[in-house]
Amino acid sequence: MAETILEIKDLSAGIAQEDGGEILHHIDLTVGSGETHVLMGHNGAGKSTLGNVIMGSPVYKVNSGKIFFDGEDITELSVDARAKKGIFLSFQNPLEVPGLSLEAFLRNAIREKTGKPVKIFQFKKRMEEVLKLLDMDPSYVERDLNVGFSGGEKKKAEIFQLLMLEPKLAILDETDSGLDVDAVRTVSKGIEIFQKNGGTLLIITHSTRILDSLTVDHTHVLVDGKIVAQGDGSLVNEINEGGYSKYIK
Amino acid sequence: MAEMRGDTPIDISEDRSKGLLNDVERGLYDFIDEEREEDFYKVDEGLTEEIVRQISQEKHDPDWMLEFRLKSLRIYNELKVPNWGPPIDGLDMARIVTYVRSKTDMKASWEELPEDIKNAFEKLGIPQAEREQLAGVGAQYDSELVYHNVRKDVEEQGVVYTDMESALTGKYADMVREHFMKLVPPTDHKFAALHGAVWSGGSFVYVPPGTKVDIPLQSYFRLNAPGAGQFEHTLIIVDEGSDVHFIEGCSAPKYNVANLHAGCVELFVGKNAHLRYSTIENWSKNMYNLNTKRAICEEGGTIEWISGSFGSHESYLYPTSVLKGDGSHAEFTGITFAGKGQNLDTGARMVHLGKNTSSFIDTKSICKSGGISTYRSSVEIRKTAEGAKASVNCGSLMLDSISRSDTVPAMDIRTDKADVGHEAKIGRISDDAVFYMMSRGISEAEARAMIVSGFANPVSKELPLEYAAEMNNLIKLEMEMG
Amino acid sequence: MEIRKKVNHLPVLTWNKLDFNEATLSADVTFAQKDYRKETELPEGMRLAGELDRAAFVKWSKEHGCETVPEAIVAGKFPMYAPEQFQTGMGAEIDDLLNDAGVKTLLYEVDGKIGTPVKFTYDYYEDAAAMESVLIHVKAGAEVTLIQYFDGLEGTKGFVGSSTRVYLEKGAKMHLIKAQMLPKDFIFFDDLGVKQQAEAEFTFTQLELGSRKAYLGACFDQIGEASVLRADLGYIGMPESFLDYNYVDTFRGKKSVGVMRFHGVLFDHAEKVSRETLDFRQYCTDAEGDEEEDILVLGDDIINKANPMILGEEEKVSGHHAVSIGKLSPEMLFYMQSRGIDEAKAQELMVRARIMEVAARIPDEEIYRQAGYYVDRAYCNRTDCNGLCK
Repeated sequence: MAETILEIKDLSAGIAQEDGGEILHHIDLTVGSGETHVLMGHNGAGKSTLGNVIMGSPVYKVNSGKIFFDGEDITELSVDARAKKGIFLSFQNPLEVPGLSLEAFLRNAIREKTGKPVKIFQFKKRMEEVLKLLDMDPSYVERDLNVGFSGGEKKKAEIFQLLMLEPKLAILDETDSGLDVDAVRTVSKGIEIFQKNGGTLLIITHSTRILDSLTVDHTHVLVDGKIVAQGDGSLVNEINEGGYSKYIK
Repeated sequence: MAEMRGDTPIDISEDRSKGLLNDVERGLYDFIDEEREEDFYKVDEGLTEEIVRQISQEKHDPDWMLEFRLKSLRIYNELKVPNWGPPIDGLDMARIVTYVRSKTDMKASWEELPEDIKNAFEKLGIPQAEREQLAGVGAQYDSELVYHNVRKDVEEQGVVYTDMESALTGKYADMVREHFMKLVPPTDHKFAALHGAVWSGGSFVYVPPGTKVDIPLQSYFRLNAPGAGQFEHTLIIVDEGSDVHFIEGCSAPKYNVANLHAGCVELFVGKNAHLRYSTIENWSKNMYNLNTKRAICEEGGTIEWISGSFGSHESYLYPTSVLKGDGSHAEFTGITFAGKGQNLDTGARMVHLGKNTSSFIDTKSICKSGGISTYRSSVEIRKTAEGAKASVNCGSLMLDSISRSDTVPAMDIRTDKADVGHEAKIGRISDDAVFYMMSRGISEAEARAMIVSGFANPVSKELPLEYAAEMNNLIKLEMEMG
Repeated sequence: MEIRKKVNHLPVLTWNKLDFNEATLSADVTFAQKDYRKETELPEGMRLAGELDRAAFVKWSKEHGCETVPEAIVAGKFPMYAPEQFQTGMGAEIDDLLNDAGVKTLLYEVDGKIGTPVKFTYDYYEDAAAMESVLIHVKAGAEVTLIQYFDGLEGTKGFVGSSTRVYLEKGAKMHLIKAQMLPKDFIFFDDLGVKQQAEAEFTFTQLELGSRKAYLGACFDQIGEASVLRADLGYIGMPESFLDYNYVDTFRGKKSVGVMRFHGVLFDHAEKVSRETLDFRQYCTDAEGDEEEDILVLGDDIINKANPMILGEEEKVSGHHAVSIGKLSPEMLFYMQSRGIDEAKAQELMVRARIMEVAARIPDEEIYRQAGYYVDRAYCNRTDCNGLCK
């Protein structure tokens, strides 16, 4: 068994606003370093909530339970501190910043992470490599962050950031939804590279297109905020065929 | 964005108002009831200390009120006419009769009213309205309330709904004195001062703590005397945790001389209380409507304004909400329809003082046949209002190019802990939408009326059924008039 | 001389107590007959055609159809300030000021398509009080980009005024850039009036980074059919600074299109008053106006006043404006933080983004670079500077 990187213990969480209601109930989840986990469930089951809670989104609050990352309790940690520790969340709708290029954004993120000025030459070279790996146009990085990006371009840009920032754990939230064939190819390729380089993955999805080319170690099924079934990669196929009905009481 | 369509043009409340839509006539509002001289008491035209004393005496004011009136008159004489709104040169105060009263006492039973007054209100459908769905009705004819009735069950809840004169001397005299023109002081502007000097009539409402009044209270104002002014004062105090809906309707026949309405509405919304204040204003088109309305909300209190402005020659109307208490909330939903010869300057003012206060303004303006419609507002977020949220949304629909529509929304924000959003649009009826509807067999005029009604829908849907029907009538009426 | 001028009049007045209807430009200065503009060689196709005193300027305006005609003001319907010849955003009293100080108007004529930008650099290397008035006449089909760059030596103080009028004949194109990076003890005003004939395209990029007090006025009169305007203003309100501006886009020609964008940042103790107007005049059928103001507020002791107006006299138009005022949104902050960027840095990135978005529209390396440095310095002056910017 690989060394544990993410451990969620008895986690209950809901909307941070008053009377927001609880969405996740008593979640236990353990992810080993280098593993690929898939979190499945129908719309509204709480999958995205779980990803956001691990990242520390202010929209949600933890009512009870703990989240450990690399053996450290991060339940109370700020979002950027979690990111610096090596957690990455891909956004379903990444935000747009006119006037700030993708390149400048990444350079700042890397400088924040390492605490050192970024060596421009190395950085540029690395960008070129990654762009090439993903078969993306070099002009991408000069464009303003997510501004005027199509749905597919935004997802590709998120995967590009993933490979540039080299986190330990990537939580990919519906990264494959609404993509054309070309974008799916780029995204899948990026995830494969990340996996191959020893990255840990938690893939949140309700479809499974993107999983075709990946080895899945563990599958978790979320229904109404509870994990109702766990298994290995074969569970994905099972759900594909049988759906969630057998888990819904 | 380019052109405006009614959101739901088909929902023109056909089901709501089938009967009414078919037989609209302007005569419904413009009828003139000849007032026989000997049945009415009037003061002389103009405004002098003598007249103010005369009104005070006639009304048996307490001493402090006479003082208040005289002080207001002095302020009135000092203040200047506003330099920013529609021109009011046509209004000659020396020719306005400030006080007209029928020589009949206030009645609690409809049958007892004199025939002429009864007829006027019957034509406007007032008593039916009451019978059907109102908790209480006050009807003001010229300067004084002539009819007042409150449903027994509402009275038993401890709700006080009475005319201002009785309130001044009755059980709630102290409460009235404590609140009267405290929210809108006579120094506020020239016409607030005028109001302070010559006010007469209006309603006093007090809702005791923890009381939920399920059915609306209503007041109906009619100004029937030519060349007269109406200066009613409405004072509503909603105590902690209570909930009430107040509706006012206004109308007047058209004369060749200017009439003036300078009413004043003061609303005190207590902690966690909720007040909805709805107005359908259809003063005749010789009216100068210089009305002041203001509400103050304590902690967790909510004020909702619903406002339809259709009548008047000129209007200055900007209901103000002072969000004093933390977490208090204000909403303003309004529609203004300026037709021929009208210059309607309307809007709202939101003042955020408390923490986590929120305000929403949603207005629609329509202008046609040379009418001028101005949306004017201000959203003020003071330094103390951390966590405040404000949003303004205003749409203008122009129906021809001889009319004019202006949007003048000021914002003054003094903290970074506030979120303010503002959006405004101006446009016309989309030709495509008209074509689409005509292709389904609807006449062009009908299609346009339906689109305008759809545009007005956000307001009409907030109104009680029969008021929504009345509003749609008014829109249809305005659309038909050249 | 003591200056006390009423400027930046709101085209339609509102409540006096809101203090929006006008601003007062006040200063006490002695103007020296000194030119701080660096020598620029004019390219082929552009020439200095004369120096006009007030009478000559009025005459010129009349001859070129730039005089104020009754339909160019909101005639009689509302209380109005006195209309001026060749209307500008700040108003007639600026012309009085220039006249009183003996400033003549430099008339430039452009009759060719000029490829490279013409740059006027104003360098205030000492305490200074200076004003300039220019009139640019771009002939039919001609094109030019003019950059006015105001810079000064740190530690000096002064009063700088710039008045610019632009007349674009049919099909003419101009990009006017005004970049102001004066030291903080300067008072600055910039008054602009533009007349656009049919199919004329005017692009205006204004970057306001310096000076303690700044008054900006811009009035675009889209006279001709299918004329096009694009205006961008980017500004940083530093602590204790004051910015007051008045932008008016008047649509008179059919199918005229105007887009205005305002990107601002207000630091603590800054004050800003803005007036933005889309004014649709009768017969400007199928005109389209769109205006957006986006202000990032970084401090709880600020004054931020905005009055975005739409005036409509013509039904067959489409007008839209939107304002958003606030801090960094929680969503944006979460996104930035999820990539390891903390709140302070996220804020800085957003400030930079706002300014650089406008700076990127300026085809001049020096100004683009200086704008970046300016943001660095803005953060360096603050207590949380980590010294990296030095």
